Amino acid sequence: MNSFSSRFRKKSTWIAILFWGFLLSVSMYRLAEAPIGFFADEAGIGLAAWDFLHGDWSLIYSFGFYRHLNEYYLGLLGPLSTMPFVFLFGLTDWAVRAASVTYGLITLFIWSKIMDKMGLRGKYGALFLIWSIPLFFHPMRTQFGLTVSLMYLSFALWILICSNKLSRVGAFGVGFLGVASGYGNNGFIVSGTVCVACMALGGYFTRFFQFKRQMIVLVCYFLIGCMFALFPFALALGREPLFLKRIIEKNASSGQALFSKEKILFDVGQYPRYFDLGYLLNRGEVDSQGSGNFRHTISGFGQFSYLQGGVIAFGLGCLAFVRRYRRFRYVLVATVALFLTYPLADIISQNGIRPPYTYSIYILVLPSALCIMYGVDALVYLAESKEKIKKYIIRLLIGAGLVYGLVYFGSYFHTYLTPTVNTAGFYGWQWGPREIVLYLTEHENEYDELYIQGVFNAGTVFIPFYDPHNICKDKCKLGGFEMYNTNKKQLFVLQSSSLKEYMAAIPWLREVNRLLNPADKEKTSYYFMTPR
Amino acid sequence: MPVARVIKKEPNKRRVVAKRSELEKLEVDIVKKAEEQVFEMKKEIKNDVKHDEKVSFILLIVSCVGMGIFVLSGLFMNPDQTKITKPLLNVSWPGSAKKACSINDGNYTACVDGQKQGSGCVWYANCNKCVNQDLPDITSVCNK
Repeated sequence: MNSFSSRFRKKSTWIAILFWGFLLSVSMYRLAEAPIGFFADEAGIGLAAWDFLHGDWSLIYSFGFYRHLNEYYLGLLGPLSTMPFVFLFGLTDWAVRAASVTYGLITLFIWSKIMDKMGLRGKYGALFLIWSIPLFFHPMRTQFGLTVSLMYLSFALWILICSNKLSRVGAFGVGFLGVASGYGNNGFIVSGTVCVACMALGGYFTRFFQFKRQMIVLVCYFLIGCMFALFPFALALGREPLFLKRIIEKNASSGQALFSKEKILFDVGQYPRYFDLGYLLNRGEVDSQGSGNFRHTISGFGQFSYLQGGVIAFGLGCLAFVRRYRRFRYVLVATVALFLTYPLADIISQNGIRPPYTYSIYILVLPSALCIMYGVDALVYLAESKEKIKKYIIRLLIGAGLVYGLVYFGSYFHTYLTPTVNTAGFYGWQWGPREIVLYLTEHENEYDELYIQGVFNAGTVFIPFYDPHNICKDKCKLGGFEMYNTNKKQLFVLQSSSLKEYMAAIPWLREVNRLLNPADKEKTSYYFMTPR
Repeated sequence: MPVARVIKKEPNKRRVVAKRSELEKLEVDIVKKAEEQVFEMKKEIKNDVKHDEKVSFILLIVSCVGMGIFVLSGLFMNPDQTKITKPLLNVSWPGSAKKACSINDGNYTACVDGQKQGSGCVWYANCNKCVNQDLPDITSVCNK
């Protein structure tokens, strides 16, 4: 009791509470409204979590996977990790996204422990820089199973770094957790496995995993861990040809067969695009040529800020050349290997037109975070230089960096909270279903059938998601004019872009309500129409 | 103590004294070596600190200059590098659906409004407007 109360008297405890409280509150701020709308994949994950909570496990397709949106196979980690939040807060878009934010912050906490273990200073500065990386921050506020995957990988890294002498269980854990990260977001089936291979490569050149007599047992345990985690994947791949459906679909527009020599050569040719600084620091995905996706980045911002890019380059240089970091050679090897291999998860479905798919290159956050940790530590080290001039220059630079970092994040977050044109559309965040279904459930007793025009990406998932208790009594469906029946009292929810066509076909439609999207009145507002 | 016993112990005493002096010599040697080692280590650490400081400082300057050149070149010399291009931000939906589908999703038989997903069709709701020609309003959208 005494130690507990004395701990709260410590200045460092209060700083920690303030810091983590700040990250938590900003990460959760207006979570259901920004990004505007809610995407079908998020709803699919939330709905699966709801079904599992109510004892309906029929969605599980094979050990480790479930049928996502009735069409694809996705790892179980997404819905399983969302279950506690849906249980506590109900099936809402906030609860589903809060799960992702929580795992993102746990990942940051693991990284803070890694910094402590490695004796690196400037922890809060480094963590703030990492947290404010757009590539980390934006996917964290949406639920695509990415943060839980990253958390698994970070935990594997933590075991590797924090164990002075790796035990057999530790070696098994590194292999298992690293590869099992693939059951969160599908991209991590490739990213996670490659990342674990990079970690093992780093270990091979330094202290772990050498194929020496005394190490061979550890290597075996590590490989068994990997195989254990890969087994459900291999089982699903062998049993169900549809398993690769999404990759085949995405690859289709490249014009090459997925597993062919031409495809490999094509992918090699695409590789430099992933190291384009213009894409990484300025444009991001949304503003790049060939992008049809308005969800993944915020227009006007890159995947990293200039400051983050600079600190990453500086940290990598320090890790390679500073003598103090010689004992972290395995981190250097793993980091460089990760930087070189990060495109692999996305490049297999690259068509040569679209820019790198942000949610598939999420693994890039991990080596970047490691570099930032070393970069910030080196800056703190320099700031304590005995040479006065040098010391003041560095302190001035750090101060300027701090101001820039805060201003950058403030500007980014302000833009983030402002819904802009196109972010709500079909390839955006699909604003509308929540408000529409709410209206329909309130007015279901006034109609025989209530139809929502099928203008949403995987739109069927939204009705059960926003009406899990079936208040609508199966009267709310997706459908349009083809469902028109003069014998029934019907309500049609039509998107503004197709209203004219409907009015031309059925001039006797009467408007009963209107739902205006403040960001995009022209294209994604909705009209509630009923035949007179 | 009887005199005979004292005399008998004398050679041992001499040996002890000799050993002690040997030990003292060794001790002095060890201390000297340790001091030398500590001095060497201190020197090495000092060198490392100097080296690390120098290298970190150079790396910091290189990173700052590199980033500065990138930003400036983007702003003044090579506007394409940093210019925000929004080629598809202004496309109208769903008139552009066909193009967007062919870029992102390939060509598929898609669900018509109200058709259950997974029953032989995929769920790109706006792509179906291009693919399916059965319904009059769908054709009109495709002809846009």
